[in-house]
Amino acid sequence: MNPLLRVENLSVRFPFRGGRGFGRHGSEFITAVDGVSLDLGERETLGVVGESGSGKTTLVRAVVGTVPIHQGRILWRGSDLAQASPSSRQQVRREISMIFQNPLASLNPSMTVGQIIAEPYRIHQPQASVAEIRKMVGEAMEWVGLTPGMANRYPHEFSGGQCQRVGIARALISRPKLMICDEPVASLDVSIRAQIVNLLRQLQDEFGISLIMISHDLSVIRHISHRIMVMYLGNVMETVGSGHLLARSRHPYTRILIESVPVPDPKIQKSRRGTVIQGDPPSMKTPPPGCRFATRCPIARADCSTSRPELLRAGPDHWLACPHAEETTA
Amino acid sequence: MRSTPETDTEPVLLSIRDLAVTFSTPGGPIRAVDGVSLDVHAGEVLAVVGESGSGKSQTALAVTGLLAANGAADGSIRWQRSEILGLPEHRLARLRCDEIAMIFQNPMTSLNPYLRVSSQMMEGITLNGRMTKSEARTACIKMLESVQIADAATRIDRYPHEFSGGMLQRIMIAMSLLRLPRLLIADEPTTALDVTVQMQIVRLLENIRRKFGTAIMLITHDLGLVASISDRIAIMYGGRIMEYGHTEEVFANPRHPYTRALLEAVPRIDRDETELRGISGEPPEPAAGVPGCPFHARCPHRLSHCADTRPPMDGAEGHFHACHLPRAS
Repeated sequence: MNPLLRVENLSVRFPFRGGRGFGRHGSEFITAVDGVSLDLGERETLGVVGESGSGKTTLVRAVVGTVPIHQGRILWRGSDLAQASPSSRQQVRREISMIFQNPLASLNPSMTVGQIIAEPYRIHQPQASVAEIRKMVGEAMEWVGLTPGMANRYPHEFSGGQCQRVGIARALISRPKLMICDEPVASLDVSIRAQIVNLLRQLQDEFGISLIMISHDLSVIRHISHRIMVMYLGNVMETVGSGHLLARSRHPYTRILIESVPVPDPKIQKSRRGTVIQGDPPSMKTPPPGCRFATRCPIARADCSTSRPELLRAGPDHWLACPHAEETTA
Repeated sequence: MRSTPETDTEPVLLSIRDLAVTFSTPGGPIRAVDGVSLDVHAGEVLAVVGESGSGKSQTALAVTGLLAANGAADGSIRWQRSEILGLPEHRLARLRCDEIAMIFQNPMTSLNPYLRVSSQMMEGITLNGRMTKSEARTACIKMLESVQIADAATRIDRYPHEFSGGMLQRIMIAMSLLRLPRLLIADEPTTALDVTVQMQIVRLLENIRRKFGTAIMLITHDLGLVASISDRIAIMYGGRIMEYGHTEEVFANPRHPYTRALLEAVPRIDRDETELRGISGEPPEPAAGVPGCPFHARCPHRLSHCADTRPPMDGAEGHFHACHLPRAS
């Protein structure tokens, strides 16, 4: 059986202005996503983790079709999106929706919340009557815990958590099969974060949707994902079932990410003297030729900077792109 | 409230008593900070924790005299026993220059994009002929080296956009340390940075405290960061302090329902629990001030008088809380 979404060897690149001077487009490119493959099943949640420049946002933009693909294929229920007819592409657009990081900035300030939520429904159901739209908006608001009576208010009258609920209602109204959430809780307060994470999980159960959750925060994403994919400079470093993240993940970068998340308990945290990686990620314009992480890796060897390690199966539900990572000791 | 926890023997550097910060707005006055009392001891790290609108940043801005033009502070802020609330601007500027330094969340917007790092760093220490240019330059390079900027002698002449976010925050920290301040106020210093870079900044702040004996007032919403580095913690909500005490003690025996709810709402990387417990409801709307406990509307243990009677600060031995509930609950 085909997975809901399959990404095969996807690369996305952007031109950048080489050299000095105005408007000179060089023939140089930044490869933001470099040979990424993934499968996503129905009702499954994939967490994509990485720091700035890891390519996690570009990857999902390619999936929703807002950036051009350089290489590779994106298959939706087994059929290649690039070959799809305009009408079936429109259908796919209805089935994939997106939620963004900054809830207030992603809502049009001059539209009422009701109009914002209705917009995708209007586009996908152009023949719907006003009464029908109003009914759907009311339902969508109830799904996400807002009262339909708020539909005539404007985004600035809502708190951050409520704005994020509006964003979720807008994403849900077209009854998608896949919801892509780009840092959905990063800009929310701690007490509201858990509300939104729990809401997403509950909606997934209720509507049977698949989720791709993008985050830089492993501790949040682990709570909602079935599998976690760790990215660094456009490459996948490791993919592991989130239940096994702590015990089985072996890539040095994954381990550093885990150790970098502080534990909110001073007794434990002050004894957790994990590895601190020095320096910053290298420039995207001149990525290291071998393993992208080699320049900062604590266990890098000579061959790491010459040959790119392949993503290989390391166990059940576990793929690893590091030939030197030791068998786990955790 | 009772003043300092008895166990702290270091002298008090900064002493805030009954601080209130009020903003006048077209919609009426808004009280952002409402009766906050805090002490910062020499060489300690005090974390002031809260969510948006808790008043943590406004407390810090009131200390440094940097409140917005429509804001007014009331109460008492003493720096080494002398009152600094209401000092004229030139005295406050002097204080900020020499003794209390401040760094902010987004290092990118704290530096002037048109000026080289060298001229921005040297500006403060060459004022009034305190140092010659070449002395200042040497001092700046040395300080950049101590915050681990490699090749500081060349990089000092670059522009801010040529550095990464983590490096810019290290440059801001270096700049704030040039006059060897006794107190560094760090307002969300790691929030805008990647996780691996956050850890670098935490280690750097620890080193600075050890090396220079600088006290740090850390303003943050991140309980993990607090657990990594702070000696004492003040938890704020709706402009008030909810709980205040030694970090290990507060985390081990949280007394206030808000503190407990907050600790439960944070996902932990070291545990395999599956359920996250959020705090239902929304933070309070900015208002002219509430008579009772600001958390009462969301509190699972609220009593009938919580809405209109302000709970007093209660406790002893370095652990205080403001709640009507009996301690054991």
